[in-house]
Amino acid sequence: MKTSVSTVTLLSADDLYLFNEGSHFRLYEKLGAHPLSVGGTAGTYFAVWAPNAEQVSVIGDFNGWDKKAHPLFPRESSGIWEGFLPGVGPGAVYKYHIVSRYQGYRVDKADPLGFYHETPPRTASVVWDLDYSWGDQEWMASRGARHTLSAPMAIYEVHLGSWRRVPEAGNRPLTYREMASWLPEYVQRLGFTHVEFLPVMEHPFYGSWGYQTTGYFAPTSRYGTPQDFMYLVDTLHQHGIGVILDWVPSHFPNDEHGLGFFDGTHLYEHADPRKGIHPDWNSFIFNYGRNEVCSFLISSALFWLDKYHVDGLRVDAVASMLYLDYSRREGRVDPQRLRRPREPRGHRLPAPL
Amino acid sequence: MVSRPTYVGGLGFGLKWDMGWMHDTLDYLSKDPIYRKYHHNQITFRLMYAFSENFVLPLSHDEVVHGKGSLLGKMPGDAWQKFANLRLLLGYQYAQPGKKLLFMGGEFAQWREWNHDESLDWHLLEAPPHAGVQRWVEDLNHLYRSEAALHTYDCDPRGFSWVDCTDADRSVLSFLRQGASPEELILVVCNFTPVPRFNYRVGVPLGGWWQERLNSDANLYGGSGHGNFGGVEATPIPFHGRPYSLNLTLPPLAVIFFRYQGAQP
Repeated sequence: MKTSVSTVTLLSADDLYLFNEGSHFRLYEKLGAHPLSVGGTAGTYFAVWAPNAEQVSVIGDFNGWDKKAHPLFPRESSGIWEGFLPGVGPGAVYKYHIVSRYQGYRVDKADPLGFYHETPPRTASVVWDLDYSWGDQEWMASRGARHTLSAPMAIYEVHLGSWRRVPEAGNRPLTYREMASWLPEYVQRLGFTHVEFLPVMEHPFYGSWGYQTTGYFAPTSRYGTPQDFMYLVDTLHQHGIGVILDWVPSHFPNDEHGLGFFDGTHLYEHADPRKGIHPDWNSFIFNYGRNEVCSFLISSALFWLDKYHVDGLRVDAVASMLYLDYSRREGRVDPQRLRRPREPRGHRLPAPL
Repeated sequence: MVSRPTYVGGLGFGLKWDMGWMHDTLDYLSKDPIYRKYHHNQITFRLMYAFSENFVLPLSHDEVVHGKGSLLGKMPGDAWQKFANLRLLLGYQYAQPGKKLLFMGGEFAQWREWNHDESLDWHLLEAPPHAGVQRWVEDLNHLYRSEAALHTYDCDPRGFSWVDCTDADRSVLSFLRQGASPEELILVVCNFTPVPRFNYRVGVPLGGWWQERLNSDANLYGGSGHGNFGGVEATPIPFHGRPYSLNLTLPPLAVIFFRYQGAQP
């Protein structure tokens, strides 16, 4: 087995600058796992942000989860660790093993930028490419006019796991592809203009309905592959139906393989528990003051619009992001930045027109 | 504001859920109709702020979980009245300015609260009242999309004017939706009581034929079949500050949409 190579990179100096400045909005083209070929050798390039790590390595089914086999290399002072693993390709199951600079903390993490993850309760990521041949050119060319404020918009809100089930097969939910053969015709017959899915981003706990996200760049693998979900979006578009995704940038769950305490420090979440832990959901709250976290979240939003042809995002729990005393009892807020809560939820980013 | 571009000081969102509309409307409609006259402002208040943001009117999953029951279950009265109230709720949503959102199952009057471990109760569609609600939603969507008056000014005060928001005693609301051209006009009349009203006069701005485009009390949807036989000719009797008026039959717990047609076909 060949070890990792340090000389391959997808990151330019500009990428690093924009990332650290918080204005890199296409991190999914650079970080995560990217199958590619270098000098005739097929492999996968990995890159992950872990500025407080002492060591980072890729572990997976291809190296027997050996923490020593495939180390990654720090890229200057960016906080990013990268490396090329020859022979690793799509389908490989992997995690990052992170050794913190602090207190000997070690942890195995799913890829924050992973395009595909194992089906819960399994927690590793899967190397995947996002190639897909779209058939919705007509929709994409005409959707601008459909999304003006003067156009009709009637949204059918759907939870994929419970719209329709298969009683003959243990009452299992439909797959993305099965959904594609039922949902578009039904929605078209009823005349709705858009479908809005409760969060499809990978989430460990089914009962959260998707509102406890761990995979901000992957549709849940419970119902199929990324291409299967693309097929569902594609089919809806070809029936003249727009697609909106519920998206949760307000907080994330504290599962060990998730974003929390990523490199032995509070990296994605705010270090002050008054700002970093959500009292209603006991989940972590993103540190919006950190440039790299902003790059991460905005990249996630644009990822769904870019790679999945999604028409809009419904942003969950916006008030909890705007108001520091949201659901906090008196004395449990930072008084320096107190504002009053008002409307609790429900907004949407504009679709890319 | 939330739904304004950042360059004018907004947060840059395209649309915002109108949670106030949802709370007020569900609260109002969950009351026994006999008490609705005391809460008339709940159903009229929205127009004080309806254009302050670009709104979506949400009947989302949040309203059918955590012991809140189903939309149908929230409605008061016997089974017939619950279905009539639900058709009225949905019709009122489509009549109001703003984009629409409905959680799955609401379109055929799911009885149970949403359960993420089970399928929707599709077998209910074998029962005519449930199939009737589904047909109602289908017809509302097609009306909303085909009538410019019902969507062009969803987020613009030019698209709405009251005819009468003061008839609290009889719990009747009447208003006009307007498109870009003066003849794109839809009159909406809602009767929030189970008492049919005969010879109920409503003022309109234009003389001519007003076609009854949809009526939630039609037999087709499971209603009692009260209505106006397809349309009404406006008479030059000024009413509600308008130069013409229509003499209407208002079906019980129902909403009717009249489309301005001009000369009688």
